[in-house]
Amino acid sequence: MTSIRSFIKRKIREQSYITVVSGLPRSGTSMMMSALKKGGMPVLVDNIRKADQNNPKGYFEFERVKKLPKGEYDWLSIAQGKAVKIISALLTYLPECYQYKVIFLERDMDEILSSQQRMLERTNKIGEDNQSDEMLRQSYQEHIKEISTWLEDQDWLQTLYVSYNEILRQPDIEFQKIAVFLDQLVDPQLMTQVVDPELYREKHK
Amino acid sequence: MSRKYKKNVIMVVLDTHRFDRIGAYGYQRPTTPNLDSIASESLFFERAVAPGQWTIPSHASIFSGEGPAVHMTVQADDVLPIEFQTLASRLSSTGIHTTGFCNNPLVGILQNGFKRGFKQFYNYSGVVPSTPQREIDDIWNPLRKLWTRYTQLLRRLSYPIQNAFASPNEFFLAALRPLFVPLWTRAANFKGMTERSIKDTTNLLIDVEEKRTEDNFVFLNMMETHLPYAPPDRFVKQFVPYFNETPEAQQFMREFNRNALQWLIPLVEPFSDVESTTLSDMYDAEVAYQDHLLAELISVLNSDYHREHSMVIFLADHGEMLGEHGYMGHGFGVHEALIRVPLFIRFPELSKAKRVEDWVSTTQLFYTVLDYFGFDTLDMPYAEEIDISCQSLLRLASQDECTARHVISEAYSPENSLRIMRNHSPALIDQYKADQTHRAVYQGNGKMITVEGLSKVLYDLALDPAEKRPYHDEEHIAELDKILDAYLDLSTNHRGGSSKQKITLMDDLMQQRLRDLGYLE
Repeated sequence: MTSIRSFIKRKIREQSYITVVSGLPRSGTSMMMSALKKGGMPVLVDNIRKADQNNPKGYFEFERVKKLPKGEYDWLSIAQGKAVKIISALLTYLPECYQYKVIFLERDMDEILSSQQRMLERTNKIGEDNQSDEMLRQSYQEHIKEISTWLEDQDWLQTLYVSYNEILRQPDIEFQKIAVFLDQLVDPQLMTQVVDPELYREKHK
Repeated sequence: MSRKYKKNVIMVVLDTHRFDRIGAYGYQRPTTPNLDSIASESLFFERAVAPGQWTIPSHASIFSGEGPAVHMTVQADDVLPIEFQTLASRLSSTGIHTTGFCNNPLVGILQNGFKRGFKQFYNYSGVVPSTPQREIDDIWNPLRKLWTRYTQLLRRLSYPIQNAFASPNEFFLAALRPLFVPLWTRAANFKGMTERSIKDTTNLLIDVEEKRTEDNFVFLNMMETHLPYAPPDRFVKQFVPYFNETPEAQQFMREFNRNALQWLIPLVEPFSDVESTTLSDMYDAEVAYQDHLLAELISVLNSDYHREHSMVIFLADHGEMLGEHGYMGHGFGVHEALIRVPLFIRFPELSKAKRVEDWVSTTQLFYTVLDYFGFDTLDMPYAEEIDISCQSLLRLASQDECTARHVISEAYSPENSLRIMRNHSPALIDQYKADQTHRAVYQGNGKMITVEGLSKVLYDLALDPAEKRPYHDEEHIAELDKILDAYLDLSTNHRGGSSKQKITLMDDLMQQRLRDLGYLE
């Protein structure tokens, strides 16, 4: 009887909100999606963008997220009880008719910028441009400040800020915080298996 | 900002409180003995003006330090632009503990940015209020925690629904039908829980006194004097003594309390004498009841500790029209009963009480609180640095001679109320120029009321405080017009970004980068 009750309670909790993994591109959102999946949470992905050199373990993206600014969000109904990756710039387009728990990834800005730069170089979209990087840094910093304020205003969103760098340093502690935030719907021990410090060091070189 | 001792600011907003119903402002009925007692020890502003005529623009100004023409948060579905860092945000960013206790759903429930920066914000109105939870370690604790989680979930689910009623839509119009009014005024706690909120604020202040570990900013908003009027019998007997024996008065009040449409638009027909007197006296009874409830809070504020460490601010966000000039409620116009407000500040450095006759705006409280906490200058979003002491009201405590000042108040028509008028009484729109922005400019004894693009009328408030006899003085109008033009020009330059809810928080450079990376279409 107890197990049936706990199963029902778990199902209700699972269905009550959408887990959003957010942050700037290259702040560790793919790694977080991967960890949530490993920890037992269903993820909403379409695998249109395949794994590549930039994200050897996959992007964990759902293409229709990009349609949010056009007001297309009917797909959110299937995101309930799942995790979906939505970059920070698109958060303000989420409709209020759903409940969300946002895991917001923070990462050292130099690392984000250099990782983005490498990604663009690999896709031949841009060359080295330090001046642009400096301006982008300011744009990103301003954006993060504003989006944090915006998140604070929204009663229908709950936000947990997580440092990518801290996850690599002490994954047990950070994933435990996430498990508490997500009502223990994920197993923090399993989540730690996706952390690959070697990959990080490689990127950081 | 390092100091040897801790400082606190307690800001009490008497929502919808007319200045002329307070003893300290000359009212003859004994409505406010408790407010009067603290006013008698304060820096007392005889001529304080609200920047806007209702809750949204007025609170937006107090929290941002800007006039409505700048922040443009003037409708129920507007959001205070993110670039205006709120008072609570600025305070909390320097480590000051910020707590809000709020009975007004427009401040406590709507997602309009007013709660920004509050470390704790308790909302006593709405379907699922949030109130401070007692920390008791007993066998019921797990149950209490479970209940808390359940109510948190309910609250999150209910907020989007309650927010939907803020827009000028069918939900809003339906809610105003007499059948539904008791539902949201009683079951959904429209006026909050004044007594409970005062009790919780009082407990916090006792706690602050006991711990003395950090600076505090405490905001309390009380809604008892807002419609509908249903004060306890004791206060009805004192202030509306004929009520229980006058069926006409009872029937009028019963119907008026249920007819929320009438609260929001000018009168289609003037009140009869009985109606007018009953409404006014019931308002007094609510004023007296709220004052009675405040006794407990004021008693704690009168402790030695709070006298020596706490600034106490009492103000109203706006007044209330009770039929004067054909207006009811607080949606339209800039007449005295609506935008003149009570304001008095007691603070430890004030050696003796002082009455200030200068015109001041409650917008200046933003700077006054920052000044008290030791801020010198502010970087504003329009890239200008503001000297806080120039705007702070505290400087008026030490000046013997006040320089001539002017103050501006603005009434942007609330879309919700306009929608009602379009549906029910369209002729009123033209009669009251209700779809135009009304503004008031005060200087000396003069007050100019402008209706955008239509008229400019001048009153001498010393000779004609009820604004019944406009007078003509081209020179004076030109002078006040110049002040208004300068304000509006400056406002255009200082105006914030989009005040609507869907906002794009990224510049062109960032958008381009996100497109290059494949994250935007």
